Amino acid sequence: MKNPIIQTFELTKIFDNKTLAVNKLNITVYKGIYGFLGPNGAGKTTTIKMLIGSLHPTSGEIELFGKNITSKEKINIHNLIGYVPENPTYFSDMTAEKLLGYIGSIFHMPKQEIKSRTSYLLKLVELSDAKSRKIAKFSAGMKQRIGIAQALMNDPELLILDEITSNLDPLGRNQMIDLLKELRQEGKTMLISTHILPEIQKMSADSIGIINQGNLIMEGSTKELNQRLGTKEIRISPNIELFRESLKGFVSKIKEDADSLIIEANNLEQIWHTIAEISLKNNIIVKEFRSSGLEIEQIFMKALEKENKN
Amino acid sequence: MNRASSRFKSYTILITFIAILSISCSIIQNISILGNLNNSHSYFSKSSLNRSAVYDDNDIILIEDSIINETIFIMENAEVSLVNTTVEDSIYLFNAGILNIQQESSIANSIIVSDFSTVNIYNSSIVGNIECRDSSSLNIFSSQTYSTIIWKFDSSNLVITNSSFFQLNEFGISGEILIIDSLINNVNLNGLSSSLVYINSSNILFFNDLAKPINYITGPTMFNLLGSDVMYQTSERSIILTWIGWDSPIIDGYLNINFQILVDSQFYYEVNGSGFYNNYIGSLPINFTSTGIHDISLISIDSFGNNFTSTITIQITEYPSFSWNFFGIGAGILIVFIFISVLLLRHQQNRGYFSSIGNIFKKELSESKIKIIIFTIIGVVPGILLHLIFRMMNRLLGRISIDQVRTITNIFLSYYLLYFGIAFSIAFASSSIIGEKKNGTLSWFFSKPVRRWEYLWGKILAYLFIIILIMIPSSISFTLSGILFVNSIYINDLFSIGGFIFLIGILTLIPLLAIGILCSTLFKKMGLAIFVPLLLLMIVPSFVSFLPILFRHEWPLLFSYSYYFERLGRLWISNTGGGLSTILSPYSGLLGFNITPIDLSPINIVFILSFITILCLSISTIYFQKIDIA
Repeated sequence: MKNPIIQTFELTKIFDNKTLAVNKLNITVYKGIYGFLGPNGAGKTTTIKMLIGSLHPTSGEIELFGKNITSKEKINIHNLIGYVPENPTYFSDMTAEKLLGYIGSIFHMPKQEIKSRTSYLLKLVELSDAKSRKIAKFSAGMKQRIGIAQALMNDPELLILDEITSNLDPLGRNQMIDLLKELRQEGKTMLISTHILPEIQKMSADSIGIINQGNLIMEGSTKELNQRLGTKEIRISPNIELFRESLKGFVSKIKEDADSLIIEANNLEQIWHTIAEISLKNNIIVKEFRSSGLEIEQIFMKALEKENKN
Repeated sequence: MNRASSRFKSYTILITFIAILSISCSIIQNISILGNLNNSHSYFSKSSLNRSAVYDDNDIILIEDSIINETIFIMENAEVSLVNTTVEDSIYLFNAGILNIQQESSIANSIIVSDFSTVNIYNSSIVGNIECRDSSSLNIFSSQTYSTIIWKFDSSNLVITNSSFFQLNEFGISGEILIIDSLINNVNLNGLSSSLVYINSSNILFFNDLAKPINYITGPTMFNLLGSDVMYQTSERSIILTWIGWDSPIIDGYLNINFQILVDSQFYYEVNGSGFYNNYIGSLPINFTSTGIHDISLISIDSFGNNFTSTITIQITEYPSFSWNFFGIGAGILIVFIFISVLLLRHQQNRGYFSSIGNIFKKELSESKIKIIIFTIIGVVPGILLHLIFRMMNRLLGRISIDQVRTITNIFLSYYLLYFGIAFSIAFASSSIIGEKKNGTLSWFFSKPVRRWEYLWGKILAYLFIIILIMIPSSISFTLSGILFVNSIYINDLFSIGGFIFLIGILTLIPLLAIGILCSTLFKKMGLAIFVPLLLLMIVPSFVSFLPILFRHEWPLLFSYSYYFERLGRLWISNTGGGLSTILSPYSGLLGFNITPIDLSPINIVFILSFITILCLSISTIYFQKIDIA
């Protein structure tokens, strides 16, 4: 059985005794990419800040690597984390090289290791040329990249990235996504909070958690969520008239798109059986039979719709 | 019927009684008014007193007249001239009356001159006496008044030229008597010699001088002008006594006077002040062999043995010497403590306990380089300004006393610490944490293996180091500012002052740092964190400094932060100068009331400041552990 990297138990945060930011949140993050999704103000950043220890939970518990973060192990746990904030400022009077050196010293890394790691990371985030420039003079994209570099300084097992692409232009986003994919290849676990859903799709998140108004409304792998939400799309062509009549009884929604029939159904198995039966019976060759899962954006929207209905 | 008649009788008696009473009262009242009117007018009425002649209005000249059995009153600026006239009775002058007696006029009786009145006698004879009272003037020229006794009282001025008279009796203070080319049988001087008598080219047959020679101590300070309650305090072991002395009479321009100086009732020095001048201005350096309270008596003695003593009390203050040995021991202990702490941290690191306190300390110092340079420059500016002031004083006065150095240094120090404290608190303590808290840096930084208290104390230790770093050149600049201008025997005093400035600076800035750190952890807005140092060092002290006048006690000053370092300045550097909070009580006597002092000792102050520091840093540390860093 896989061990969770992050696990929260009934995690709650109420600000000033009146604003409920996070409500009894239970998330479980396993190795891989975890997309932490939610609209603005959903409670993503608050949850992340509780994970890194800058905010104290009002109630509930957090376990990172199986250890409670309020324990004496907190410092050791932080040795395994890398965090990139949403709007990074860091120590803006420092140069990129000095910042990484300082972070290395905070992790008590040997000087030689600091030097080599700094050089490697600056190369990785393509900031070698700007290593002597003050962070205050960096562009938003460069700040995000130095943010990744500083978060990787201790070669952490877990990266917590808060709206990592929000300040980037499309090119920068793609570069960042490629970088994160690369890190995933290296075996890093990443909790990526974002409200820009296609990016999570591009990163092929292993699992996602959807949060709204402080409540976790859905969590699981994209496959699980597809099944749980119970709506699939099947595209059939030609002879769409024949199929429409036959499938009418047990599909929730049928649409036509040019010469194709798009079917949304709850029970995919039964549909397959019915389609197979009709085609055999009528000796029809189905030219196109394509079943597609929901995109993350659709999952997100459906989850929100479902939450609103509830 | 009888009853009604009886009641009527009673009413009649009562009414009659009231009527009689009313009439009696009315008569008495009228008599009284009449009487008063009589009294108030009788003096001015010529007709009511036949034997008086009152001149109170117009000027009049009586020529070859003879006034017999009439007392003459001259007043209200009236000017009466007697030309070749004989007056047998007395003449009174008051309220600025003027009498001119001339051309062989003769006055058989007394002349009494008072209240800014003037009598001029030219070539006439006076048989009776002349009394000069209350700022009156008498001028006698070429007149023979063999039997006349002239009395001179307070503030009268007499000029007697080429005349002869029997006797001059001088009393009272102030005024002047000038006798030139005259013959006097008998001169009696009884008043103080502040009533000056000059006798030139005159013949005096019998001289009886009982007038005391006067002296007035003008230095080393004019403080005795302010009242006897104010004792002159100095830290000088050598002072210069200055005085002015004079005596009556000054015969043919020669002042005959000697001075004896006693220190603590022991003879110290004698000065012969005689010479051809009206007064003697003297100065004498006096060296003290011990500190504490000393009396200096100046005795002036005239040629007749009359003497007058002035005494001033001087407190030779012994300011504490800065103990460099203790300072060295303290610094040594601190260095050893730091060394042991570093070793312990390394030892713990080997056992798997990693502390970031050193990294944060180094980072803070590294980031504050420019601030440290700026504050170091600001820190030496007062010393440079003081040096320029001392240089200017040295040029103007010729010499600077250690007292002046102490006082001016203390004034500078109190204002320096006030403004420097505010600037330091805002630039370092108040702004640093709040800034990082606000822009999210802190939230990010705490995702690293950094303990919150280590972050806080890394910064605190860096700021403590910066305080020491800044105060060293600052104290040196204060010390060196006056070194070229004071007597070399006070060089140790200057070094002592420098040591105490360092100590006061540290004792002032450390609690301010603690308060700034507390504000920085408590508040979310920079404005509040900046406002608190301003409140503590400017607004509250300004308000509180005047409250002792209201309460007649210094206790409200305990709420003024500046009181503590100003008080240390008064105890260690100079008991004069310093800020407003410390000067009210010592000089409250001048305001006509007394303010009870608190008299906090340095140990009390160190205790209070330490308490503030420990309390603020404890609250900051505990609170910082618990707060949410957004």
